[in-house]
Amino acid sequence: MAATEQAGTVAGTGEKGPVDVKRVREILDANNGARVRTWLNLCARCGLCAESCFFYLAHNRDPRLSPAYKFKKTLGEMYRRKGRVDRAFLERCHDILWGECTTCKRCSMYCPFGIDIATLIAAARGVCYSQGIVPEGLARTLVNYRETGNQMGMSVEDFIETCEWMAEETGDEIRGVTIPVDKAGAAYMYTMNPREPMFYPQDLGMLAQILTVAGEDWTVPSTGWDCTNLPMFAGDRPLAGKVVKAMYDKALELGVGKILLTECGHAYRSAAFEGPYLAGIPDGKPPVEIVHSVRLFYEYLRDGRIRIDPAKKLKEPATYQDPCNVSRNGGLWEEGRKIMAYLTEDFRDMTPNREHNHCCGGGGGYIPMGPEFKGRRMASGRVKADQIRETGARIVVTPCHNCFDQINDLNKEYELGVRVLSIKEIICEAMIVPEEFLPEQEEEGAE
Amino acid sequence: MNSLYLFLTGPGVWISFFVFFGGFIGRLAFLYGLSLERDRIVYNHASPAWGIKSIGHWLLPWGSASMRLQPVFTAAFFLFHLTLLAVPLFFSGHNILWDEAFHWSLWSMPDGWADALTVVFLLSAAFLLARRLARPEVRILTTAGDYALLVLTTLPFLTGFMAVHHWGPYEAVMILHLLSSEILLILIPFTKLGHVALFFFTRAFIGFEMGSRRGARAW
Amino acid sequence: MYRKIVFCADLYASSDYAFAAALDLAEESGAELVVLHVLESRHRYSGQVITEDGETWATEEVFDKLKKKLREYYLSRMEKEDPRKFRVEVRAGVPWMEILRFARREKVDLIVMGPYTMEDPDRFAETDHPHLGPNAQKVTLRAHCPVSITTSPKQRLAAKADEQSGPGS
Repeated sequence: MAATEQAGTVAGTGEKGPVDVKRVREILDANNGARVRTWLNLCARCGLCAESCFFYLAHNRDPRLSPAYKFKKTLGEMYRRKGRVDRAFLERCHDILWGECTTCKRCSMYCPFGIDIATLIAAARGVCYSQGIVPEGLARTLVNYRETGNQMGMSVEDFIETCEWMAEETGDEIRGVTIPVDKAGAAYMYTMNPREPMFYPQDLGMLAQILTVAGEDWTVPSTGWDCTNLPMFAGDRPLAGKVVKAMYDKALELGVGKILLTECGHAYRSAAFEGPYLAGIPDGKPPVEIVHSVRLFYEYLRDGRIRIDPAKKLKEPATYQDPCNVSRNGGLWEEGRKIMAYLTEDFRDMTPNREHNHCCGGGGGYIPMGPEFKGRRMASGRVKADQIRETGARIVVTPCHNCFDQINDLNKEYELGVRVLSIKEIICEAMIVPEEFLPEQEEEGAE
Repeated sequence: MNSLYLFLTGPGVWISFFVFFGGFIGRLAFLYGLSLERDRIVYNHASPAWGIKSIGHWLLPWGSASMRLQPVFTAAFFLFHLTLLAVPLFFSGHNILWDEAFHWSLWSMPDGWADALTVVFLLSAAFLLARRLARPEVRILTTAGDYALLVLTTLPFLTGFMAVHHWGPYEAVMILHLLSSEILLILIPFTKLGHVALFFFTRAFIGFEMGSRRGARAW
Repeated sequence: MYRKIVFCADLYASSDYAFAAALDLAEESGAELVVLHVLESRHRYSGQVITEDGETWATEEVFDKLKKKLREYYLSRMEKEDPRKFRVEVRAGVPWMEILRFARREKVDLIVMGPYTMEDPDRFAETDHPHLGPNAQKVTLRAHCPVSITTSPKQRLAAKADEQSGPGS
C-alpha cells in the first residue's frame, strides 16, 4: 500500500532512515508545558495505577503493563534522552504505545495525583508518528482521510448515492423518510462513522427512521460527514485537527443548530473534547454544540417522542457495554442505562460499571490496527469477557462500533454466547410507529 | 563538630527554609507562566467545585476507588503523611525554638504523643519501604532515588527521637537530625516530594478535565 | 428481456446450479452476465475480510487474485472460449449488502443465487441441509429486481428446453 508523503512526516511503516532528532525535540518541546513537566516529575511510583489497567489485569498482573511503567519507558525515556533516540527505541515504543494502551483514561482516575497518562501516551505517539512509526492499519486510513476527508475513502458521489438508497429502502417501512443532504439551518447535522455507509448503511437508514418518527429537523452534510478521527490515535495532530475542523466548518457553513454524532465512542472524544484543541480553537469549546446519539435517544425516550412497544422490549438478559469515550470520557453513562431501562426487561449491569467500567480493548485505534494486533486484543479483552460472562447476559448493547466489533470477536474467542446490538437497531425494531408514518397499505387485494 | 552544629542551627536553618519556600515559589511561578502559554486547557474548563471535590476525595482515607482497592496501603500512607506533618509542626521542642526566635509558635502536643506518633511514622515508613520491595508493580518502577528519599525522610524522625531520648552521642545525632532535615527541605521543591504543593494543582486539573468537562468522577 | 444478470458466486459448488441457470438465461436473452463475489468481512463494521489465506485487508491484490480464480473456475464451466458479455466483479463487506448495492448501482435486471453458503467450515454438517441462508433471505426481500434462488439442476431459467432437463422423477 503506497504511503503518502507530506513535508516532514511520513505516513506508514517502512521508513528506514535515521531518526530526525531535531523534529523529535521540537515535538517534545511543544509538549513540555506545565502539565507534562509536572506529571513526569511528580509520579511517585506508588503503583496504584496498575490495578486500574485491564492490560495489566488480563496478563496476570505483569508489572511491565502498569500505566506508569508504560509512560516512563516511552515518553519519560524520550525526555530523559532529550530526544536523542534511535529507531530501535522507537519501534519498542510503538509496541507499548499502540499495542499496550487504548488511552481509555481509566488509570487517571486511580492515580493519587490524577496524572493524565493517556495524554502522555498520545504525546509519545506523536513522536513515533513523526518518524514514520505507526501501525499500518492506522496509516492506511490516514491516506484516505487526506484524499477524501473520510477514513474509508468514500467519494462524495458514493456517499450521496448511499443516502438516496437508504432513503428509498426505509421509505418502504416508514412513510416520508428522507435523508436531506446539505439542508441549511437544520436543527441537527448528522455525522457518522464511515464504516456505516461503507459496510452497513442500514445504520443510516435506521437513524433516518428514528428521526422521522421523532419529527426531527435534520440533515446530512455532503462533506465533513465523517466524525471519526483516527489521526488522533495515530499521533498525527495536524491531520486530526484538519479532520475535525472540516466537520465544524461544514456545520457553521450550513448554520445548523447542533452536530449529532452516530453511536461512536471516539467521535465524541474528538468532536466534543480534543477536537477544539486539535483544530486550534483557543477556548477549547466546539463552535457548534455536539450531541451524541445516546443523549438524543435518551431525550426522545424520556420525552415520549419515541415510544417503545412494551411487547417488543428485549426479554433476554442484557447488559450495557460502557464505551470508554461515551461513558467515562463522555459523561453519558446514566443516559445509557436509562435507555436500557426503556428497552430491556432484564438488565444486568457489569461489575465494575459506569465510569469505572473496563475498556473492551478495541479502542484507541486498536480495531483499525488490523489482524497483526488481533491476538493481543483478544488476550487483553479477557477482562471484558469475564465481566460479560459474570452478568449472565445473552445480549450486549453498546453504542460504539469498536466495542461492537471487539465484543463480537471476544464472543467467538471466549465462547460467551452473546449477541451484540447497537441502540439504534433495538429502538428501530421496538418503537411504536404512529399511524401517519405507516407505509401506505395496498388497497387492492390479490385477485 | 561544634562549628558545624552552629552552622546548621544558624545559617543552615535560614538557607533551608529560604530554599524550601523560595524553591516552591519559583517552581510554581515558572509552571504558572508556562501554563499560560501551553496549558490553557487548565483555565478553559476550571471549576472550583470540581477542583475541590477532586482534591477532597483523595484527602480522605479511602475516599477514592483506587484507595479502597488497597485499604491497608491507604491506611499506612495516611498515617505516614499525618504524622509526617503533625510531629514537626506540633512537637514542643520545635515550638520552643520558634518561640525563642520569633515570640510566636504553634500549639504543642504532649511529648508522649510526639513519641508515639514518631513511632507510628517509622512503622508506616517501614511498611512503605517493604511494600516497595514486595509488590512487583511498585518494585519495577522504583529507582534508587525513591529509596534514598524515603530513607532521607525517615532520618529526621529517627534522629529526632534518638536525640529526645538521648540515645547515642547527642551532638552527632543532633547534627544528623539537622543535616537530614535541612537537606530534605532543600530537596522537597525540586523532586517528587514537590507533591506537597503540586498535588493540589494536578488534582484540581484532573477534576476539571474529568469532572467539569464530562461529569466523571476522578476518584 | 433481461439485459444484465448478476450471479452471486460463493466459491462453493452448491451454487453451480444457479450459475448454469443464469448462464443459460444470459445466453438466450443476450444479456450481460456478471459473476459477483463478496468477500465476507469478519463482522459488520470491519474492513478486514476472510479469505482462504486468513483474515486480511481487502486490498487490490486480494481482489485481483480472487477475480483470476473466479474467471478460471467459471470460464471452465462455459462453452464459449471468450464470452463477450461476461464480467467478474469482487467486493468486500457484508455479502447481502454489497449484492444489493451492486444491483442498485448497475441497474441489474435479475439476481441469481444459490440458497445458502457455507459460513463456517467447522459447522458444515449442521449447515448442509437445505435451508435459506441469511444472504439469500435478505437479498430476496430487499432487492428491487427479481431474485431467483436456484437449488437444483431441474430449475432452469431459460425458456428453451435443454436435453438434460424435462420432467424427471
